[in-house]
Amino acid sequence: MTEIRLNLITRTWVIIAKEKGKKPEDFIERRVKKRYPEFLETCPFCPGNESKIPDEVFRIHDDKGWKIRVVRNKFSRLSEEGERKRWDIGLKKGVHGVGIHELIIETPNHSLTTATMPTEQLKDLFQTYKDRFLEIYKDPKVEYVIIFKNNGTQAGTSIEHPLSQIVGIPITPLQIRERFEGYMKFFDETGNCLMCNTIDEELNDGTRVIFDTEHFVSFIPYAALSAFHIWIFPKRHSGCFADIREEEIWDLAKNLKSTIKKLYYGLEHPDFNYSIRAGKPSNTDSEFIHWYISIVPRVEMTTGFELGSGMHVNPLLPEKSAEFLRNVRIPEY
Amino acid sequence: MAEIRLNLITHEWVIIAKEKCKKPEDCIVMKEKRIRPEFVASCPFCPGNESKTPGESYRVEDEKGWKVRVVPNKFAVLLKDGERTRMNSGLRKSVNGVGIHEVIIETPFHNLTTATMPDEQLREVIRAYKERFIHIYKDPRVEHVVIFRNNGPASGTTIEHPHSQIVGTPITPLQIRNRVEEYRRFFDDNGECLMCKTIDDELKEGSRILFNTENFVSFIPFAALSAFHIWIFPKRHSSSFADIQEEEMRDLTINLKSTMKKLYYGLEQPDFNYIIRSSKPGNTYSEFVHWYISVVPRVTLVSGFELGSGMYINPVMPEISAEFLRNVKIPECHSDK
Repeated sequence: MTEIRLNLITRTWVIIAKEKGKKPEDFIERRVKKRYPEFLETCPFCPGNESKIPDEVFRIHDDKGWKIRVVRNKFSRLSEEGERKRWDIGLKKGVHGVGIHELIIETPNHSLTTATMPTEQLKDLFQTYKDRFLEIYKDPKVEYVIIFKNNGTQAGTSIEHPLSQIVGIPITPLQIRERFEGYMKFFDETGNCLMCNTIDEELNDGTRVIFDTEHFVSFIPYAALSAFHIWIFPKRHSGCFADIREEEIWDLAKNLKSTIKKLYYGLEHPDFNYSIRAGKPSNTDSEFIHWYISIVPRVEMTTGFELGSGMHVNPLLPEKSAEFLRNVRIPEY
Repeated sequence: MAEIRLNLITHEWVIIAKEKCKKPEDCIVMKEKRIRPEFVASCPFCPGNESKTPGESYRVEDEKGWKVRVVPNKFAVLLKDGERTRMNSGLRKSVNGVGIHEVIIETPFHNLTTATMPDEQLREVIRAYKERFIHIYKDPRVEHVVIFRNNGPASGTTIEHPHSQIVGTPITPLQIRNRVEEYRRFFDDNGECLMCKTIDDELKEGSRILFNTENFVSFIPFAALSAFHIWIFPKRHSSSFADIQEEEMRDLTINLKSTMKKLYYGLEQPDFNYIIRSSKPGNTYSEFVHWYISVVPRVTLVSGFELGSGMYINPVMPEISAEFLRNVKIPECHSDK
């Protein structure tokens, strides 16, 4: 029997359409894989071309040169100058498009991706996320900060060089407001954090867990919104990503890399997005907000059904997808 | 300076890139247009292959044969049979996946699309929507019905033959619940329907209007969620599509087709979805819910920003997109049989 599962964290209903008869293997990307060179002279993010993007705000380097650079996004839709000003003309309400938009150049090596990057490099990347996240929140124009990565054309980017983005916006999106309100209601009804409870239940159940490391657990949600949708939750309750500690960053780097490697080898380099969903620094001690990472492999297209209802259709049983990923063999190099 | 506009009807924020905005022409997706035949022998929706789609629930025909057919979706995401049963074990809550999933085969002709279909034919499609919409709501397991059309691979379908879908789900999605609650709040605050007020404002201002016909108005929303996102609102306040009258169906046909032609010729046959957003038939007299059609050309892809925040980025100013579409010339050879 088909099930329609309620995702308690997003409050989205998901039709688990296993009757469509798709198997995890059906989502393997069969297209021809391009091999990227380690260095591409025409790539503005490759070493030697730093002058093409001079507006650097942050850098990590060793004696061999830079390891990570953070630059202002030249093509940002938000402008750093100007005031956050509201207008309100009848039904036309808006705010000036001010804010911060930075690009995080994850590595000098053009050919790497999350699955193939040294763990040390990923650790530095998350340290960079943390530093920029805190810095951007200091700007009084900024109300909410989003960290995300687009990898591949289906994920919305045509840039090959490994990049993440961080955007500080002058308003709080409705989706964030609604979800936090839902977490608060759950806390009031049960006395528990919904995400802490979820971790407990997922670890007890085990069927959807991918990696259980010291500080993090990666799993396919009970009501995963799409095929191979994955969450990585920190085990220690905290409302804000920036509260992450040194040893937790190490563990996250390991957990994230292992998880993305499963996708990389199991589904043959699918395009993907990941995003960090977190409260603001002022939410750090909230009892009901619990930050996490969401990974979305872009292996399918949404249709008018999703657009018209806000519901989702997942053609794979989450338990089956998790099992498939757990069984993916990672080649030893 | 960019603007971040609040869409009051969806309550979503949209970043509208003003200076760095794309020109409307940049949204033309350069793909090779295939010329399709009127008839494809291997297409299960083409005439002669009716036996491949058994269980027909609705048909319009004339002496030459069927014009519109409604059949169960062979690849239905919901099961037709079975009871609606809730399951509730700790944090795992669900309902079994029962409901209705039908395909509306819009025409026997394999190569038509909304923009090129004869008016008469499109009106029969809309009538089929109405009939099936009302019928499916009679199923006691069904809580919400969505009517939608996918056209082209970027909109989520690989089937070429013109078809729409109608799905009756055994639950009400959160998005619908939230929006209806906002409409109620607006009504309580202002004493009028948000959509009625939007129509008044849009018609007065005019800069985002595409077609203002007798019973409908099509326009690009002030905070359009994506490039060339279009809404078609009925002027008469009504919360359910089931309530549409005969002369309104006639007018909707004209309005929808004219609007789709603008996209078809202006953006060179973009892939698109359209959706009917409506309350259930019994809810027709609600003062604060107002049904409408949403048209979404699939010319850009969403990125991690949208996925991670629920915000939107629209690379084209709504006023500029509307002007661009108003200026699209429809070729005379357009076959309105």
